Amino acid sequence: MVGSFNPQIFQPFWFAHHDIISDEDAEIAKIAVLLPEISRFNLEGDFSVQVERERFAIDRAVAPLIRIADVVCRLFGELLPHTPIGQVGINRMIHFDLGSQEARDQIGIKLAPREPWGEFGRLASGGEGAKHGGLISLVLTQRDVSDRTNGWIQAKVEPSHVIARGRTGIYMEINDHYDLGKRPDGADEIVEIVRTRFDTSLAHSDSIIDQIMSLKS
Amino acid sequence: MNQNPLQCPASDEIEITVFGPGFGESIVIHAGNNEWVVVDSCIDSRVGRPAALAYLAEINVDPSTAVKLVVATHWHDDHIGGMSELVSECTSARFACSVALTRSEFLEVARVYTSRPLIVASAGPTEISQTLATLRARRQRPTRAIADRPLIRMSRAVTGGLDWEVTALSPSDGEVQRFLASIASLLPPGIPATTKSRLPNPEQNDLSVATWIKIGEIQILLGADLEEHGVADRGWTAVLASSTPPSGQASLFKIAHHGSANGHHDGIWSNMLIKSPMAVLTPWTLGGHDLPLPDDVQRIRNLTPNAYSTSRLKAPALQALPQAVTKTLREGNIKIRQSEPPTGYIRLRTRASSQGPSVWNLTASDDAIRLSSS
Amino acid sequence: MNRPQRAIEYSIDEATPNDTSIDVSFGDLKAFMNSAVGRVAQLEVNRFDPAKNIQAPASANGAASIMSAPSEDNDIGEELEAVARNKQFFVPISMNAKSPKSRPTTFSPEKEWEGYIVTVDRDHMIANLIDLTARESRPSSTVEIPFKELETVVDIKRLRPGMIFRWAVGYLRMPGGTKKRYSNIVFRDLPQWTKRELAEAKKQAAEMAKYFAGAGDESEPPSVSGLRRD
Repeated sequence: MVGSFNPQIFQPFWFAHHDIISDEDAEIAKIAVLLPEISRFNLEGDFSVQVERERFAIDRAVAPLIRIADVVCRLFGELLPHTPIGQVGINRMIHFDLGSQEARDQIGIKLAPREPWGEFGRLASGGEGAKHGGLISLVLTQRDVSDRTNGWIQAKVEPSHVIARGRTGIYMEINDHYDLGKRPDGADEIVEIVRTRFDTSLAHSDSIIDQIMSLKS
Repeated sequence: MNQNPLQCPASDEIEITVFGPGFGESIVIHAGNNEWVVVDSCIDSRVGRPAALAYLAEINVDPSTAVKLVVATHWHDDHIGGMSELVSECTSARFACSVALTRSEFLEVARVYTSRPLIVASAGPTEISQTLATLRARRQRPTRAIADRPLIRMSRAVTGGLDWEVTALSPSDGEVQRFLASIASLLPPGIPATTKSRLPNPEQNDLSVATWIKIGEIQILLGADLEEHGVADRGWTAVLASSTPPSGQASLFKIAHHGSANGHHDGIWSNMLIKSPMAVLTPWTLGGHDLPLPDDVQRIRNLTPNAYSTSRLKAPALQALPQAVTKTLREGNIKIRQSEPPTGYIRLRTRASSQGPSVWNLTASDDAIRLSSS
Repeated sequence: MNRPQRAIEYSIDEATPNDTSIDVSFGDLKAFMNSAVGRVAQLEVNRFDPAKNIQAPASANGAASIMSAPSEDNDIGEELEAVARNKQFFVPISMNAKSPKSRPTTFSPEKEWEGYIVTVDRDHMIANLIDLTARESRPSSTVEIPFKELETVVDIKRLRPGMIFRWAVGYLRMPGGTKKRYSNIVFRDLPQWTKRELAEAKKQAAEMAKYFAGAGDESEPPSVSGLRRD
């Protein structure tokens, strides 16, 4: 059946119709928006989905995380295999608490030493309370990744705004991105990447996160 | 148990080493003259690679030239861990397996279950599928094992030394046909089919390839996992009823099916073995059903005082788990146990001789035990 | 069918910002699906243009800005509607920073296994476990789980040998410092075998069987001093 991609179709009862979730869970799912251009719903404790005309995102907050890989492989490997998909990112986000602002500052200084910044670096590290300065965001990108023709692995470090009112936590985001670099015929290649790389990708992302967490003295 | 440093057997020494990690087993045989046979494969838990390859490397034997025959007596992953790697390295070896595994009925099921899994666990027929694919790529065909068929004969008329041969004692024709008829039931039913799963462990070892090895006048019986059903054309009854039984009696027996009652037949001990032979078994501790049971141990001890196990009969206690896990297990009445004891081995050597009874000299790993003292 | 997992002992009240997402972008949008409401929309093909892909982290920040709305879902909905109305806005393809809610929770499993069922008994199942935390690839332990621990996560009647699951155990950590023990089993909802896969398997099996059957005289094994190859 030929049709157009319609975000409105990606809603809980469609998922239940195809046995991805139960009918009961479809009934209690929270639909945030359902429009021709965008749909988003949340299945508490399982996953949340956001679909736009050119983008599909699925999030899961609790382990085992393999659930979202399974859902993606079912959706685009089985139900919608002809959907042309050219890129995929397997993203890992985490907040962790360092216990004190000082401990967090120390990591910030290790990641971005102040001396090269001269007087500005010294001043940027000062201040108290809401006026306390320091590292706000750091992004590192690896572009030459041996297991893919195109794509990257990118790691971002920022202060966490959700832990201890933003004082003692770090937020990290690892984006493991694959780009087919060509016009896709369907979803096969991307589904294969998800199938074969999901666990490895998460393990690698966790190792990057562990590396930063190990900087805590 | 004594443990001697591993040394390569002398050219005129016959050696058989049985490895057993708790699931699967591997038997490495030196037939003299640096010619080797490997029956089955398992992963040596100490080094994480096929036990046969790890052992041959330790004694500086090149598997690519020295191994002449590899036999797969099983087809399920839980029994032949590392078989595909073993076959890949034994490039001069002939590969033998049950004839049923080369038939389209089985190959179709294997192909279905190994296609595009998204799982860490093996699919079930992964090792045998990869092994057969390796053979296909090498333009090699497996030697098809069926009852009373010789798998290899080595004549040393030219090179000197003892002639040796390996003969399959099973499966019977009836076992093969029965297996092929039942295997189709493992195909996913209908379209749309069920979601993918792992191929379940086979309930019976119908295709198990028991073998008879003759090196000069030394005879060895490897029982694989052949079970007895009390039916004429199956199991050990079929072997014992063969019209071309092996001549002579074996002085060494690798006990069938981990010493279980299902693998036992009185006729093996009365007809096929010398009195009080050397007997070795590998325990099984995977999947919640341990073998051998205490009754099995007693039965074996009554049949020979020279019975050994490659490793302890019970898997060791589980290594320390995080507190969250132990509390969860306790509150849910969930029982968890380690299923892989350290891979142990039993090694037996004797001088190649065309006269007199064989005197086997035994060495063993620290984890191996003698059944009479267990 | 699989029910989505529920914590065996505890429920999660708040979404956690510690999560994992997969973003997928579409090229030409030819979607083939059965509409749950019976509608088939018209094909609208947007040509795939790599130049339109905004490379992270700008895209990530863009995504984060969408999601950084206040914690109530309806506020997020309004913001998303505004996005939808802005036809020029291209949501990035690879980064999806989820918006934290007011009381986020984190869950880091201390142990995670992949398991496969070996037997299904009257009131429990037995499974072999592969320790993913230890990066194992082979089973190293066996577990016996009573059915009452599984009733909220799977239809017990559908349990059968070979089924695969993941099991994570650890602590839910609240920002206030408290933690709750948490155990979660998810039975893998793997794709179904397709007609094409089954047909392909049959074809390949027939070809291989034909090749293996092609040996010469099978009555004599390889012999002579040294091996004679086919």
